Amino acid sequence: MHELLERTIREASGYFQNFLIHEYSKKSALHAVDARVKLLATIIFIVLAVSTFKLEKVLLVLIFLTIISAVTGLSLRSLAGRIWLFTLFSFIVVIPISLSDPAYLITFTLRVAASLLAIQMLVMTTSFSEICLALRYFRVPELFVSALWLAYRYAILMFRELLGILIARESRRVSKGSHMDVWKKGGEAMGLFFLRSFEKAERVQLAMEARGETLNHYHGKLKKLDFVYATILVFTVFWWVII
Amino acid sequence: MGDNLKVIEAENVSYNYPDGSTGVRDITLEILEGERIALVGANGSGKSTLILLLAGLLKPTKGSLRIFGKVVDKKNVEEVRKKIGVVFQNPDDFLFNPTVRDELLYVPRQLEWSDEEMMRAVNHYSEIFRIGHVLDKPPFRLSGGEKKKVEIASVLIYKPEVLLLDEPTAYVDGKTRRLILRILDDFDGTLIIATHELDVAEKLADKFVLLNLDHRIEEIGGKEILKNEELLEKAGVI
Amino acid sequence: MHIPDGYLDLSIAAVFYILSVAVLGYSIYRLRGQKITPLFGIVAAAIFAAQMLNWPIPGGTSAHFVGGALAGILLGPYAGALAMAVVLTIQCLVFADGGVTALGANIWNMAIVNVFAGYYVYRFIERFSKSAAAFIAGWLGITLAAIFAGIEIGISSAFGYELAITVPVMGIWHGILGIVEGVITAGVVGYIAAARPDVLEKKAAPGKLSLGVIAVMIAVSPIFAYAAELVGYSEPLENAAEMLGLEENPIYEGLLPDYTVPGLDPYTGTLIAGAVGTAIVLALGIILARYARTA
Repeated sequence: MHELLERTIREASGYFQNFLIHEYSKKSALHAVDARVKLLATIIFIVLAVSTFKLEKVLLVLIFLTIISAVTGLSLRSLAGRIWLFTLFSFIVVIPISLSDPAYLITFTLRVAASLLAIQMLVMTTSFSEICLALRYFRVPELFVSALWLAYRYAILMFRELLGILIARESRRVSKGSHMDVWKKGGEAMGLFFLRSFEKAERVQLAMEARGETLNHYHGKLKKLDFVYATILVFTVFWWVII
Repeated sequence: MGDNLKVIEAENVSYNYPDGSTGVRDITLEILEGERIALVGANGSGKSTLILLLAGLLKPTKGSLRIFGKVVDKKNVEEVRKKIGVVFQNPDDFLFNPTVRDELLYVPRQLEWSDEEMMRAVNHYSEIFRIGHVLDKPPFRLSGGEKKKVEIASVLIYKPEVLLLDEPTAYVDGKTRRLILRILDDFDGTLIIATHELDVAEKLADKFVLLNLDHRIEEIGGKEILKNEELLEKAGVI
Repeated sequence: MHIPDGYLDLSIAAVFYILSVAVLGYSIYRLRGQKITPLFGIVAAAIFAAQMLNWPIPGGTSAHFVGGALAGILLGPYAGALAMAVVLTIQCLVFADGGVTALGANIWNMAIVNVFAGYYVYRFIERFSKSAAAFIAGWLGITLAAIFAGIEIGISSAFGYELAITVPVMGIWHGILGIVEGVITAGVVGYIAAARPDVLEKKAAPGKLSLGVIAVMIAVSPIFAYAAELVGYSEPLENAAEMLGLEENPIYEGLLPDYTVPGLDPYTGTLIAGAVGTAIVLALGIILARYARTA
């Protein structure tokens, strides 16, 4: 159990950071753009990037996204920091089959990079509550979006509870165990954790009923800012088509 | 008691939780064998974190921590766990066995005690804690006070040299409280108890570590700390 | 085993989006009026938390628990699928874990195949032994999910490796990791079966017909994927552009006829077109930034 706890606690800060990354990251112009526009734009940018193997088109998306990020105030350094690993991984994975076709290697990698860039631009500048409201606006079922928001709100709390249970369990571990023991005993500890989560769900249920909780509906009107971003999007699509 | 064995040594120990919140800051503390120490402080001052650190369950993010003279690592961790007992604030985090008896015997079974030893221990502790009548019940069905008694009994049963408790008298009824205090009074190993109840601290300990709202040690000293209203106010305890 | 963007052809991505939406939509329909949101929302949060654990495995690295089979066993297949879909959506839109175009496929693999297969297997074997049933459900759910992921990226021409490589690699690797998932799932289910067996009882057979339909959908989905690839919708936008004749005859002849600068070779022309586009985006970006400051 010892290793399980140590490694988990070490990696946990990375996860927690992501929960609030839109707050940690430097305030950029993109933070203020309407989430609905950003969500749509992200999808379209990614589709542009992954629907072609023409290098010039892929490069165009990558360069345009980089420029937008830079000019609107997103830290290129943070962005690079968040996308380099997967990009490199993709690069390495396809090397063996690109020996006869180096263009594929480059294009494949850049496609992945451009998509990652697009999604980071969304993730770093948009709070999850905004994303949920945007999803709701786009007719994603209420049942699903409410659960999405609920799960997001409770994720960290549940993690702390799980950790508490594992630590209490660890305090009474006085014999070494094999890997199998760690998985089995850890699983049992998680059993207690899941049982507790059912009880918690019941309490949340009652609280929600008592408050008559429903998700807010989107009130926002689109601003000039949003139209400019939409213009950038449309322009990118247009230029992508003709290049 | 001529032995000045250092049981736990903390030097500039800090702990930050993965979510960024501060546990404790810059703790320098020495705990000798047989000492009875109360960690006193307001809620949120870091008492629980400190208990977990001193018990060897959390690794400091800064500073050095030695337990029984060594840093806790893969090689010695089980030995450390055998000699240390921790009673957590929330028994629901701790109790997980199918019956109270299984709960009590969880550690003895790992230590491969004989059936006779185990039976004797169960009888002895169920008598002291007055839990004989619930031995075959599942722990989650018990009342708050009974849960706490089972929790403490499950730890004392393997006779740890060092006993740490996090708010042991929280959420228990008066009768259980008195029983627990009596039992802890009789405990003759090293005792470390975190509490915001000053009377409990005074009854059980003779050395006091006052934590303030900045998650640091405000003061270490004897009973006089508990009478020093100015100090207590500064630390946010009253 | 989250598939990133760029590994799947859009046609394949689309097929699995449609399939996933169909099954999830049906699940939502089935569960409407049951006030079940907190249940699968909180359990989703719990699964999310459980996924954060780093389980040590032989070799020194760590594996992560996925929990699809467990979700199916604890919540039933429909709520279980929704719970896993919630987890995957959060991972995509908060952690950028798994691609946006690939989300449909990722949901198919980890929220539907994993959950339903795990559920079917558990229900079938539990009469003999709950622990064994849970172990096999956990193991099989992961292995099947991985095989499907292997199928999806193998069929996609975007990812150069063929099926003959992707399926065995994904299948075998996760077949091994699946042991951890199986043991953990068995641990959880074993504990709950002993402590609160009523929690596991409540899921009686919900609608044999729909379960059967979904089983068939799962079994047949690779064929849909293959068909989509054959039809070759992999570059819809380009095909559309070709059809409209845009690439040969630009609608707007003015600035950059034939996307070249007259007198220069096409390669340089493309460079210049790119540069001009970049300059325009730069200008637009600056305008955006200015509006943001005043907003």
